[in-house]
Amino acid sequence: MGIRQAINTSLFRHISIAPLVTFRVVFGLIMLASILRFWFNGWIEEQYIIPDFHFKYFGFYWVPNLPDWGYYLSFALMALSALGIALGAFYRISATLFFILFTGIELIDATYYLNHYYLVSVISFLLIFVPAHRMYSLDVRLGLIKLRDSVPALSIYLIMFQLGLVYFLAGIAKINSDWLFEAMPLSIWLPAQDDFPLIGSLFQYKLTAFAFSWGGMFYDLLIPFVLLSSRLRWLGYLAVIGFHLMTWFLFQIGMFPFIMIGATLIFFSTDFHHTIHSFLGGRVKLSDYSRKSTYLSKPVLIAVSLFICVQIALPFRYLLYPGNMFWHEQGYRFGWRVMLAEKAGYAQFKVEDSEGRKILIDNSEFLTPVQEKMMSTQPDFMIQYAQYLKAHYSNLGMDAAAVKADVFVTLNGRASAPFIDPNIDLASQTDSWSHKQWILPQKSEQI
Amino acid sequence: MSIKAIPFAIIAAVFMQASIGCKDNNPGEPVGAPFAREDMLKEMAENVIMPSYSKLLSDVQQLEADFEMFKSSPNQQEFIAVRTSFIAAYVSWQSCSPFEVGPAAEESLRLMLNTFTLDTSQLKANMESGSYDLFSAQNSDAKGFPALDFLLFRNDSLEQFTQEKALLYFEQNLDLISEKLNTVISKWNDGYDQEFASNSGTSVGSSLGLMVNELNFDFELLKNAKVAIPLGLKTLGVAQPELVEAVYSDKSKELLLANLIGIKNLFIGAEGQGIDDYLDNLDAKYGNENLSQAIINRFDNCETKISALNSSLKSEIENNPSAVEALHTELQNLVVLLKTDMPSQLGVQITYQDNDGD
Repeated sequence: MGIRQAINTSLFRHISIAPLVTFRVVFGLIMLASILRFWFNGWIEEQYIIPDFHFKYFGFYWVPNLPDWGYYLSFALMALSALGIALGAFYRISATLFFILFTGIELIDATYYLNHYYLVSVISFLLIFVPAHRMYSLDVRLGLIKLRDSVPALSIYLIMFQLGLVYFLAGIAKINSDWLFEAMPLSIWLPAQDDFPLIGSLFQYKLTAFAFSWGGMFYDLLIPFVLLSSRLRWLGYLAVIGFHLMTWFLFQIGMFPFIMIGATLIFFSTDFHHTIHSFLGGRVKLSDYSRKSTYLSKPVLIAVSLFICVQIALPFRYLLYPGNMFWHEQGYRFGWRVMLAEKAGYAQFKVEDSEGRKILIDNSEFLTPVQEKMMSTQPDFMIQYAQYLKAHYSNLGMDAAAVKADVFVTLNGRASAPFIDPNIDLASQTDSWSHKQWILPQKSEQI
Repeated sequence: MSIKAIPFAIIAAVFMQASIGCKDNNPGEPVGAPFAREDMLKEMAENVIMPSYSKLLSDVQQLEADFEMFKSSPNQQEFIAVRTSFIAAYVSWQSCSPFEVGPAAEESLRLMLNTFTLDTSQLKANMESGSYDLFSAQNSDAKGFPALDFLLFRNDSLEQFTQEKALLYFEQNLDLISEKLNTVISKWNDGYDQEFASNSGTSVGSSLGLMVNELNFDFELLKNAKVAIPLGLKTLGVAQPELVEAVYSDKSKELLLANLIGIKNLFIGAEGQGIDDYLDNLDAKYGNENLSQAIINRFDNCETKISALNSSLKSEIENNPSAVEALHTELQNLVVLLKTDMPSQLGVQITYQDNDGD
């Protein structure tokens, strides 16, 4: 059997659309809930409208801030398009709109970066291309498209791959000495939760933090494979529910647990999904699609390979930087590093005129508490903030020649230590992918 | 390799990593003996917060009594008595300043009692017109202790103070202080004390979380408003000594010291358990020493630097700025530990928003 044929029979073979339909509905509904939660928590105002200044992602400095109504409109349209995804209504438009709006809003302020926001962007991107609306959808009901009960296997495998990758790489990221041999940061976080029901009293023991650290690592590394195995799947799914609910109770982790609990349903068998659908009143009679196959399409194959390469390479780009990535945070984002570091910083910025006279900056005059917290440990934010301060004071008529900062950072219980060169003019730095020489090496490895 | 073999391969690989990297460590030992945050909070309320409020209340009552005496016989001797008891009350306020949680937060106690720099033209306009609302926003800079400081000390002669309008303004501000303070104390006694102790988690709205935030907020005020701004650190080195706290009585040094000691007292919990004991219990280190000790040492360094100031803060800024700069440096050294190591080791949350661990 040639490789072309092998790809044809595995990736382009048709399989039941049922798991994808469940995924579409569950994902759409969770997104709708997330957006409403965000709105009703007042976070649109708190995170986007109140701040005078927004931190950007490298390469996306051009993304404009919106007028106040623009945020509300974006979130309203996002909620509508999430509902559209769930219902399969104008599905391609809904999925495209959701991806653009969600990603666009994320790009406005990098302060709020969360791994699971990135995951939502990636998944909604994939949803644009997979035909998840061919069954049990308004599009079919309205006659906009024809009912089809099967899809090329690739459409489902790709989402399974993405979810599996998140777990597996999160597991890989846990293989570091702080996590495994110091049980950090759980040794700090668990005792703080010792009022947890039933098992809270165990949290004061270092052993518990070790058990959770090692357990978490094995869980992340193994769960994709356990979910793939038809014999272990139910056990694995119980573990998924238990693990994520636990993290939800323990940490301020937002919607991530529910996204994963909902999304991993896609690993279940066709029969499982058919049962759910007919239980919910689904009446579609299934055809024999086992012989159907879409033919291998080269552009699709190239695009998919590229996507996979990027997804695998991006989290490992940190290897190109010297030193401890958890310290300097270069190559940190988009790497599925979840709950791995207890970090806090203090940054005293100074605007200097050309004679070296200084103005000490009170960050709370310019940044919200969350922005200040994030800026105090992330070097690329320090550059953006310094440039903002320089522009601000220049506009006031000051001869703002340089912006410097004394920054101290503590990581995973180590003594706080100087983080950057206090003599460097941050405002004259340009952000790039190259190593920022002015970040001081981590002073002490010892906790 | 079949898919089934992958999990075993992973386990084997991880154990190999582990055996290579394993350091000497005893995971069986608890992080600390069981520590009841609830007890610590209860003791903080009993040993630090309530005694400070009580002290302030009795000082304010003394001031009221002396003021009544003065009104009935407005002579130099009674004037001095009012001045003296005012200073005592203002000093006592300094140790209450960091407790802006619960009732004090509801009543905006710090804002009501000690917002400076004083807006003297607003104050004079109020006094002249005789119609004003001390609670309105435009009067936020024209009331409380700074207003009393102005009325009592703007001039050494009795004459200005005994003007009817000045006496009235003084009395109304004294009433404001007394009323706000009494409200806060009665709320503490009517159930907030229990709520404070039982809200013993570490999340954003928890008592410990609130206390850590307010301790830091008050310390930043001390460092920035009371030292950095008058010293000129926010104005290209151009000193503004007239912006110190209590500029008329010129007691800024005493007040600064009392404020610092008050914040330290909250940290160590006076005679009882405090945040320092909790940090020790968590085995929080700063390098080779205990973090609690490192923080206490830095508090002591700041204290030494304040005590070393020759006369008042204002005159030191004018005549001996390097001594005040040295103090500011020590304050910076302390704030780093208070804002990074301490909250980090305590595991308290600062914001409500979702996070996935920095």
